[in-house]
Amino acid sequence: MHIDARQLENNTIIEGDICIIGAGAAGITSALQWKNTPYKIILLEGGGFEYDDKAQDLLGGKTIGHPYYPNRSSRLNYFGGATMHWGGMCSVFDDIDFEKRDWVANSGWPIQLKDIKPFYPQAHEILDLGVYEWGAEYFLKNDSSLKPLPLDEKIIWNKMWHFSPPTRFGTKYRKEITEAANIHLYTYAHATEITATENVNAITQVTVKNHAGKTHTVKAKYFVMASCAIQNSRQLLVSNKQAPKGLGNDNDLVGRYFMEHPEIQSGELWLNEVTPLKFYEQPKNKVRAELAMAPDVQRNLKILNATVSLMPLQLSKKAMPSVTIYQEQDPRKSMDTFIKYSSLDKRNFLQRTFSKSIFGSYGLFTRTEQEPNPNSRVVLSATEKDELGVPRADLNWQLSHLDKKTVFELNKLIGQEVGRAGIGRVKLKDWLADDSVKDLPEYTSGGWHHMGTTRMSDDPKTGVVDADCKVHGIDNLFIASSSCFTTGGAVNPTLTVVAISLRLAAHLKEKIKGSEKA
Amino acid sequence: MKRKKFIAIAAATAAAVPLGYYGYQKSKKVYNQVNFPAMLAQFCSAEELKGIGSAYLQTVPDERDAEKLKSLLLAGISAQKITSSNANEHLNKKTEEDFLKENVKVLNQWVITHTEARQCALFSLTYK
Repeated sequence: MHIDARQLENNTIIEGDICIIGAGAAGITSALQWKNTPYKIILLEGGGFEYDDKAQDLLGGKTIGHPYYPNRSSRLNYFGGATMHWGGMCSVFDDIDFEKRDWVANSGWPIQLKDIKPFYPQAHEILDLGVYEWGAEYFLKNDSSLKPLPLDEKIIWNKMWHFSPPTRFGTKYRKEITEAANIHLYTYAHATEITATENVNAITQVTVKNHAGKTHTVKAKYFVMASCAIQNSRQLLVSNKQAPKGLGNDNDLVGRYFMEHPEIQSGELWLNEVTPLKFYEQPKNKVRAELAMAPDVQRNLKILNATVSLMPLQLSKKAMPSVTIYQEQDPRKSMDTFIKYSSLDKRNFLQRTFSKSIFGSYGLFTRTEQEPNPNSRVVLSATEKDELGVPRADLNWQLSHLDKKTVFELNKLIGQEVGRAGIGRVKLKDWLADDSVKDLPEYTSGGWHHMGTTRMSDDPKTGVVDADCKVHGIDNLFIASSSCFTTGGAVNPTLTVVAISLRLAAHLKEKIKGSEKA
Repeated sequence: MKRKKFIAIAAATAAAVPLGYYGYQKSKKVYNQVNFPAMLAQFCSAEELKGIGSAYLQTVPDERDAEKLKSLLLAGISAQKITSSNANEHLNKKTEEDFLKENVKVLNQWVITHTEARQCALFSLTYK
C-alpha cells in the first residue's frame, strides 16, 4: 500500500507494529520480510518515487575533513535510496574482518562471519547476483579462458566479486511493496525526530515532515532505522529532547568511527609476457577476481584487510581520482559524470588488443579497509538547518597511518609474489614508495560507502548497538544499516547490509513471537 | 619509447658482444651480464636502472665500488670458472632465492631483489 504523506491531513497519526525509517536497500529488504504477516509495517521514505531536488536537499551538509564527495549527492533521498545510482559491486566479508585484532584500534565485532553467512544466499538473490559461489575454483573450472596469476595463494589469493545488474530497489521492488496489504509505504515522510519515553528506554514515536508543510506522527511497537550512516547518526543526534546528547549517545559514540573504503591507484604491474587477465578485468560474465591478502599475512604484517584490482595501464593512467571528479551537489550531474568516465574506454577491439604494452602492463588499484577512528565522524552543524528545520549533518572523514601502511605492504607484497613467480615486476606510485609520507594522499577517494557511525559492540561504552542491532538501553529501537559495522572489511558493503537487514528481521520475528507467547 | 629503444640497444649489445669481442677480455663480457638485471631491464630504461642503482648506493655507500659489487654478486662461483653463461644463471638463481627469502627492496618505486639492486648499482657505475 502506498500513501503520499503530502496528501494526508496535517498532524495525522499513523500507527503500526513496526516502523522502518528509510526505503533503500536495508529498508526495503527489511519491510519485505514482513510481507503477508499479521503485522502492520510502516515504511517511511523521505522522498517520492522519482528524484526530487527539494527532498534531495535535505541530505545536504558540509564535508570538513579529508576531501570527500558532497553529502548532498552521495546518497539519494527517494524510494530505492542509493541503489538508484550504485555500481553493483558485491563481495562477502572475511572471517578476519570480525576479529579483534590487536594492531587495529577499536576492531572486533560482537558477532562473527558465521552469524552473517546464513543470510548471504538470500541477500545474493535479492541483489540478483547469479550463482551463489564465492570460490575462484568454481569459476576457473567452468571457464577455461579465465587464467589466474600464478601466485602463492597462502599469501595472495583471488577474492571473487559478483556484479549486480545493478538491482535498483526502487524499480524492482516497488510493485511488491506497494501491493503488499500489510506494508504501508509513506513517501514524502522525512523523519525529523525520534521521541523516547521519559526514562529513554523505549521509543514512542517518530515525527515526519515534508515540503507541503505537513507534520505527522508515527507510532509503533518497534522502530528500525534503515538509512545511511550519515542520516542514522543525524536522526539520533537531533532527537535530544529526552536524552540531551541524543538517543543512544550516552557515551558520545553516535556519529563517530565513520568509515569508508579508501580507494586509490597504487602501482603498476609489468608482465614479461602478454598475459590476458580476463579473470581480473571488468566482466561480461558478472564476476571477477581481485588480489587479496591471506589472513595470516595481515596478522604478520599487522595491517588491515585490502584488495587490489587490475586495469590495463593505459586506461588506468587516464582515470582520475573519483573524489576530484564527483564534486557535483546535484546527484544527477554526478551520474552524467559517471557515465562519461566509465565510457572512457572507447577503444575498438584492435585498439584494445594492441594498445597494451607488448609486455602487458596493468594499473593496480587498491581498496582498503580503514582503521576505525573516533575522530572520523558525523557532527550536527551548529549553524545550518535544512528546510524542515533539522540541523544538517557535517562529515569529518579522517584517516590514519595504518591505512597507508596497509596499501604499501599489500602492493609491495604483490611485487614480491609477482617476482617470485617470475612473471614480472611491480612499480609503486611515488607517494606510496616514499616512507616519509605517512598518510594516504588528499586525492584518495572513497567508494561512497558510509559505515560505522552507530557501531556494534556488546559494551555500550564502545558501541551504539548490540549484537542484535538494538540500540543499547532502548528496548525497541534497532538499526539495519552499514552504520552498525564495527569495522568495514575490504569489500563494498551492500551485500552485507542486506544480509544484516535479513538477520535483524529474523531476530525481530523471534523476539515478537517470544513476547506474544509471554 | 625509451624502454623499447633501450631494450633494442641492450639486445643488440648482447648479440654483438659475443661476436665482436669473442675471446677478448672475458671479464668485460661477464660485466655485461652482471650489471644487467634481465627481467627488470625489460621494463626500465637505462636511466631508470642507473637511478635505481644510485638509490641503492646511497643506502649502502660501502658498496660504491664496481669490483666489490661484482664479487658480491658472483660470490659462490669460483673465479676461474666464471663465464657469461654461468654468471647469468647464478644471478637468476640468486634473484629467485631473494624473492623466496623476501629479500626485497623498494628502490625508486620498483619492488626488486637485493641482487637486482646490486646489479643496478654496478650498472650505474659502469654504464656510460
